[in-house]
Amino acid sequence: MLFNSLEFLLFFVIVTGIFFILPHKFRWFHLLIASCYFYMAFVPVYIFILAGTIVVDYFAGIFIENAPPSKKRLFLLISLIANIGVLAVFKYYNFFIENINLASTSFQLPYLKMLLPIGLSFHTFQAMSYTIEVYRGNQKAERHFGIYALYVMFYPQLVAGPIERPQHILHQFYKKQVFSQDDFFVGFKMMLWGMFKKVVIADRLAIYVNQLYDKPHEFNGLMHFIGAVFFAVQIYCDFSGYSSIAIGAARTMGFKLMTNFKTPYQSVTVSEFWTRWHISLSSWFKDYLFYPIAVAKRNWGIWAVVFATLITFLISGLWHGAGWNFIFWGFLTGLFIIIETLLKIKSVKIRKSPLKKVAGILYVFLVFAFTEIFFRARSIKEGFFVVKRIFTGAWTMPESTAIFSNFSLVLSVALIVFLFYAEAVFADKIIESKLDERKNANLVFGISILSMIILLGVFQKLSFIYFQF
Amino acid sequence: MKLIKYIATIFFASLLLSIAATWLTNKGLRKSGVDFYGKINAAGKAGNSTNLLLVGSSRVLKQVNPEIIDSVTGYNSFNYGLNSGTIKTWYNIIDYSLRLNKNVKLILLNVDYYMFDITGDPYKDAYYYPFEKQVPGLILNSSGTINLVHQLKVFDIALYDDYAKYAAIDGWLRPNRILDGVYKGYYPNRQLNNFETIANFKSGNDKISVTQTGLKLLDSCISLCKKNNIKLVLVMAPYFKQYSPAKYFTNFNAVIDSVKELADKSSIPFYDYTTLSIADDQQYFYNVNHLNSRGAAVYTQAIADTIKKYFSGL
Repeated sequence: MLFNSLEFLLFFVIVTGIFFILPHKFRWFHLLIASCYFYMAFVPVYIFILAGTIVVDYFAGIFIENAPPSKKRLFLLISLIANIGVLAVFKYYNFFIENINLASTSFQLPYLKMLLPIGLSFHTFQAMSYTIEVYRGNQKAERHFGIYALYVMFYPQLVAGPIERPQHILHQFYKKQVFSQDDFFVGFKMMLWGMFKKVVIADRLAIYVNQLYDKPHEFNGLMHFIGAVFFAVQIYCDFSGYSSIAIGAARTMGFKLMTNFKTPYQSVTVSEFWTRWHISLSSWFKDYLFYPIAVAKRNWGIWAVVFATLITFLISGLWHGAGWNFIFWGFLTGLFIIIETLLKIKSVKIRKSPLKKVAGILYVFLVFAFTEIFFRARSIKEGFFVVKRIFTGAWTMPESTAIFSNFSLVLSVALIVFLFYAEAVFADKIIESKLDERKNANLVFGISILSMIILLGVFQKLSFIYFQF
Repeated sequence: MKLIKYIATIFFASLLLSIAATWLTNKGLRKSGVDFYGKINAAGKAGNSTNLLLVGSSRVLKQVNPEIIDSVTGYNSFNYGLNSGTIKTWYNIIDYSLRLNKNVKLILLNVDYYMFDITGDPYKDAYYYPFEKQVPGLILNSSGTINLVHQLKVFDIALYDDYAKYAAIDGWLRPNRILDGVYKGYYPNRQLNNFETIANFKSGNDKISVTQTGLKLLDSCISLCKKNNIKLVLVMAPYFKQYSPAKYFTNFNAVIDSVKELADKSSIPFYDYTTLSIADDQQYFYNVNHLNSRGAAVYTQAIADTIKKYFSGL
């Protein structure tokens, strides 16, 4: 079930309505059933994979807590192997086999013919964070199976995050949520803003980007440059739009999910960008991969950071997709951060000069747009083709592009400018304001955003990019 | 209470805006003179004296020049070619034209290998047929939410894509505008041939999608013409021979043969221009599937000669 569908609108109204009607003791059950229904709306049978990992991690958590120190690690390993094993089979098996088959001339191994379970990497990482935190002693093992299942399956963040931590969300399921007009008001505006980013901007830009990458050979340098810029904005609006809707939907019921994006395009260094983009994943990697590696290799000095950065981003690339282009994308991103680390480039210093700040913002955007070419392309080769075409191809606008009218182009640029201006100046202030605050601004915001969704939205039910991960 | 008041206010205000925008868009589309809507408007124009309809995809839109046809044959033709259209769109164009224009004598329909893949037809009913009420027999393929919203009418604006919105604005600002260089619906491809595109065209084992509904629609076109006592002629424009889709799609010949079979069965003439002398000369092509304006002139001349020879004085 997509957030940008009428089915979801109906689902949301019913689930939220019943949530507040029910006595507190039944609410977890209601949310769990609703989450199962939400997940099964994609491919029903995959619920069994999810159920399997939930059972393993639930018991692993209890065993880790109860086990003597020498055995704790064993139960953690069992949990991690189960989770990573599921990822390995359903997400990476075919990639692995493809590479073996390419290298082999004497035999060909069979492929697994099935779709990737939706949001697999998200809920697997969320489940792993639970057992790791229990192992570290930062979280008590959850004894209520239903509440633990809800921790993994809570529908707003089930298929594309934010990837929550047990310390942040588990206790909220026990708290009696009383209907708050202010929470609902803020959540509603978040959902509206997320929907605007998804259907008005991301899906409009997707029309251009998808056709460009379907036949990259047919387009010149300028069109590929526009495509790279558009995709950088598209993926931001698509993913941050999803996060806004998810956080907003949870907020209407009183739950507070973690922030996933903090205006990343206002970053002045690539390192800073990754502290403001997909924060729940970046911080997951930082806590569970980067720091352990950096600490383990601390004798290496600065090279420990370089090594940890490189490993983290290579794995981050692999997390995003089972393809060499994703690994290369991770490598490129890591490389830019390593260069900044070695040159000791700090955001704080850059922000002191307005000129440097503008240059920094532009630099970060272009670097991100450049690296995302490999993220969007179907292979590294195709990614290099696009880069080459941008630098060596013609920079003329075709008299009429078959894929995008000039009207759409102008409209898209105007909407992007509006988005960045709104996010820099007023969006957060208005969205976070309560019912009695900024009354006129809230009214104008609500009417204009809802009207723009209706008048300028692209209602083709395009899926969210991050669903595939 | 404050919350309900807020949500009700913004929904009500947006609904009013939506109704106004839908009304303005539908009115604007009826004034449009360009692209799809321009053609629909031209077809439904009162006193339309067009008696030869040129129907097909971009391989008609960019390749058949009514100026040449008219001067050679004496007919009054109009190019109803539409980018990426399939038999579904063509059927609708023919149906709509015949309902509103009683002067039509001859219809030239270009055969494309992908014409039966109606699921790939870009002209969605809700976006592209604001005149449905006038054409009750129109073949519709929208479904589910889109159809539901379309029935409500007041939210039609949410269904229109950017092309429709632009056409509506253009209709208001420049009613019945005709683009520079466009003659009776013919949009020549003035750009030079795209050699790189041709070089990257590789042969393969893909299959063309053919739907049963698509095949039935061709049959319906034939029946429609017979019923209205109109001569239907099928033609097939040249492809660049070296990279012909026949090399790319394994069932290309089978698809074309099925069209020929249907044409034979219904005594509909079929003229295959894929062997025209210009088919292996790159200078006449924009890309593998499309002639440039130079090639279009040669191809149109060949069609016009055929019409003059076999179908004059209908």
